[in-house]
Amino acid sequence: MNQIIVAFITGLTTGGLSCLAVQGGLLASSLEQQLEQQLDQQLEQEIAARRIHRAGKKRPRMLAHPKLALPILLFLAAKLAAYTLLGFLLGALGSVLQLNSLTRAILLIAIGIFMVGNALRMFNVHPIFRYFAFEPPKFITRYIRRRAKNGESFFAPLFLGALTVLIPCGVTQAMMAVAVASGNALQGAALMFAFVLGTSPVFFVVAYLTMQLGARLEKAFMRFVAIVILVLGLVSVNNGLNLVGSPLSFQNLSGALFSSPAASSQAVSSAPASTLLLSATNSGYSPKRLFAKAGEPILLNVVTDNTYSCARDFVIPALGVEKLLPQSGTVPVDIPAQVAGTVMRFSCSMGMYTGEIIFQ
Amino acid sequence: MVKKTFRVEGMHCPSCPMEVESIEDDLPGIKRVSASYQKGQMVVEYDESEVSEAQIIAAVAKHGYQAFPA
Repeated sequence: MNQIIVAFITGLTTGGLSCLAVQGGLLASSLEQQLEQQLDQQLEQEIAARRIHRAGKKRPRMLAHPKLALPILLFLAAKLAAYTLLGFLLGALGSVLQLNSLTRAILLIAIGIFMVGNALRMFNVHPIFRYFAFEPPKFITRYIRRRAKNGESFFAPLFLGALTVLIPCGVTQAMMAVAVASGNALQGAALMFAFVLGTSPVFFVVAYLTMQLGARLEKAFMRFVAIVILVLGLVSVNNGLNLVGSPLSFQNLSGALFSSPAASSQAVSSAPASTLLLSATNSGYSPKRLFAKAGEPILLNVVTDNTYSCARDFVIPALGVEKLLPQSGTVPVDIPAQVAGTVMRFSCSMGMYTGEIIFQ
Repeated sequence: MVKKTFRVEGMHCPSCPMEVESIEDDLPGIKRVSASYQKGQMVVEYDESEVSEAQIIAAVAKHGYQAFPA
């Protein structure tokens, strides 16, 4: 149950914007016909109003804004249905396929690069970044235009909304990995449903506002969206690096660059131990740095106490250790002898929370 | 029937080509338009006796984009 709530919150906070970057084009395509029809209607009304005005009669109330709410809602409803079905299939597949932390790390880094590329495309940095965008295949756009011409103007949002399942955005892919890892069809379906539902309010609001705002404001707003996506992309790459225990992640680089003499002396004075105690809490691991004796096997006891965050999925990439900790309890982890000077990094399975064991 | 490539400026999003391609419906004599956001161009297959390059460029301009013969 907690995982489902976390999925919803993830969708609400980060999924909406990152999805818009990737799938926004499809939404815009689906609203193309809608917008054209509405604008034509507006133009006709304007002409009629002027005629009435010239004839000395009262000017009728104008159609203020295109009716976009319904097609956007249809798009999102179709997307929700398609992804819930996908979650069901992924969960069912989960027992056969198991994503290890290396695969997940590669996925996070690839997703992050994709998001950064998309942000740079939105900033118009260079035409090469256009290749980070997904263009709907021609046969689909032609099909939609034909159906829309025949008056089926709601076909496009429904069809394209369902089609978004083929272009999951970064955060969605991460959620799909969680659905596979659940190893349960209903759980997978519930996770994807909660996540996509979470993305919907932001998606709706941003899409609606973007269509309503004038061209100038739209440009400024899309720049803001691009900045957010850039940051999310960099965070994803960083999480992937954490997950493989790379020294290049932001946390590990800044730890190495900014470790003060005071901290170093503290390192010497904290006697390295053979048995270590690590708390996995809702806000990460504590302490973030442990000191262990080199040259002998170490016992690491990882303690949880009503923990439901990513910290429960404990990973030591160097040892290939990946343990799903209980919500409350202590799990022992055996670490073989290491040479002095070894820095063994650990993190949660999403690369968000990190720490290290220094062997002396 | 000829097939000509035009450079198209102003396609700022992946869905813009869809709008450019709608000139297929605007002008008789155009058999097919294939626009690409990534390449910033469109390939138009049309009957020269029914529609001219200038008319194609004007039709694209009506949708807010600028086309130039490649």
